[in-house]
Amino acid sequence: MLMPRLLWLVELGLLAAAVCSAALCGWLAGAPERAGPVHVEELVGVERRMGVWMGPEAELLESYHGLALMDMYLLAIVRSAEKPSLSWGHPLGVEEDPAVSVLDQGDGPRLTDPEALGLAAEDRRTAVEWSDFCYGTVDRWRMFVYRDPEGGDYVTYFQWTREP
Amino acid sequence: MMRSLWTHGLVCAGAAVSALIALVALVRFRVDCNVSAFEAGAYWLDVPPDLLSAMQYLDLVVVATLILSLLAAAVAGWRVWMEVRSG
Repeated sequence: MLMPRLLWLVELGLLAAAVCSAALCGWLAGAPERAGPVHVEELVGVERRMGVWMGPEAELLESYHGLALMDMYLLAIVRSAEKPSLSWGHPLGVEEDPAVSVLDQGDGPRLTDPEALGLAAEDRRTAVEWSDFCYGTVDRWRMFVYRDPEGGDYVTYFQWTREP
Repeated sequence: MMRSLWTHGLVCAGAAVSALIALVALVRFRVDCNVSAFEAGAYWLDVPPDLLSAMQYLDLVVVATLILSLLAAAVAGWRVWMEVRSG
């Protein structure tokens, strides 16, 4: 007599636990809607300080990517066209990008000659345009950050593409 | 006996629905948040804490749901088999 009741208890208990767990899954899956759009204000702030990166943005970059700000590096920034989120990609090694490799070798186009890198003059955006750029329709772009060997300051170029 | 079988059947159906809900929630969340990009190393600069928590725990909760559903269905199935065998 006790055994069937115990089995019913186990059976229904497992079902109840599964249902509660599924409900928790549903609640967790609703987190993006509750959180709302992920804004990109911090990223825009980074670019406004073009030249010398300091403050929390620089600390963020270092903590996320382990980057040394005195080194030349390349960041890939990927933005999904549909999602209101913006993400920083892994820092790509210099050797992984042919354009940057040329720069690094010192015998190719120089940092001060962006046209030689294939970046048209109009591709060099100002900080004001960058703000519009972030919220625009561009899907993917790359930000090259390196130190100008002549000026000793950081130089930033942007290169962007649209998803086909 | 028929009533008992029906009840076991309902338990199985409930377990299946729970497992389905968990899987749909997981897929929906991963697509909504582009979790694969996050896991590949692309970090959002300003991930809200709730979203980060959900990202960390959802996989675990889904696995727990699947295990519990499987156990519930297995117990129900085993009891059906026992009752049918005993006539």
